Amino acid sequence: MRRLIRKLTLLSLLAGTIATFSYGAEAHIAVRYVDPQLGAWWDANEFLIMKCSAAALGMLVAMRVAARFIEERLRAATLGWSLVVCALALMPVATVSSRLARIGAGGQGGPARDWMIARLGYGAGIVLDKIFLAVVYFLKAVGFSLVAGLGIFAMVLAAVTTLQCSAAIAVEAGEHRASPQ
Amino acid sequence: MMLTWRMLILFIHVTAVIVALGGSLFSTFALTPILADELAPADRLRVSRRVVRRLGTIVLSALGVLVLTGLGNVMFMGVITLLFAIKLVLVAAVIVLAVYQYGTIGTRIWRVSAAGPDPSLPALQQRFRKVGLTVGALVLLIVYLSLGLTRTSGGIILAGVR
Repeated sequence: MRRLIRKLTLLSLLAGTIATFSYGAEAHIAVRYVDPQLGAWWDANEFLIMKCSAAALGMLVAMRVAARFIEERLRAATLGWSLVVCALALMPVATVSSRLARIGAGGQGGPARDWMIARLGYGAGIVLDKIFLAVVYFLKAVGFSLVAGLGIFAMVLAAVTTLQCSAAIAVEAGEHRASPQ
Repeated sequence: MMLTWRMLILFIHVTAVIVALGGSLFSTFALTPILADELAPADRLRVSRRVVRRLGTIVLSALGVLVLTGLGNVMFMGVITLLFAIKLVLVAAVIVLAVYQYGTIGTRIWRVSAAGPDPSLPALQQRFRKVGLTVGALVLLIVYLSLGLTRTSGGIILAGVR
């Protein structure tokens, strides 16, 4: 289970990085030169891939961090069910975190853009600024999704411990009844 | 308007804080001392181990609800301040601590106490109480920061939507 989660984390990081840089640098134009159909598809979906990757990455990191703080016996069940719940919650979390990440990311300039233009010139500075904005947006979405992932993990842990506890109580009650008084 | 999505989310958010904090405070300052006074050690252990588990379910669920409604609440507010960023970091710390409290210490208490009193139990219970008090103190701090967000200008605005 941990290996699967590690692989999914790397996959979402890779997809997120590619989509973020492509979105920032408007790389879909380059893809259109090679394959117009693929370029059009990439243009239509790169933002969706970026926000879903950010949500998945945030929730997976949250699960991996939180799992370190629970007992080994609970880990597999909690991680497994968290993965299922996070997969089901991916789209809602991606939508909310991308809306939250948009707060303030208007791209209307600022000290960072001025600094980049002063250093690299107008053309390169503007492109770098767009990539910078996309990266900040991606990281903010990851941060919000991480907190949401921690919340989901806590609720799943509550459910898993309750189920294990109920099973143990039933066994204990059975033993109690079976034992001669 | 009293019946809007924003009010409903805020209501669930505040209720979740009350449940999480109230449950922990009741258990620490009311239930545990009374159990110590009124019950024999074996009975006390049997009751307290079940209280730990049930409280864990309630507190962890309330914290989960708290986070999800909190994110919804920020969406309605449309402003992110420095105070809010600090609050978010504290919320993450509280959840990790609560997960440790119930997912590690609580589970160990549950397992060790299954066969009756055990010499390792007092230390575990002490640690459980310490972590619980830390979680409670952090939640109180978060509540205070929330008052700063809603009752004052909320400090330095990091970002906002028009």
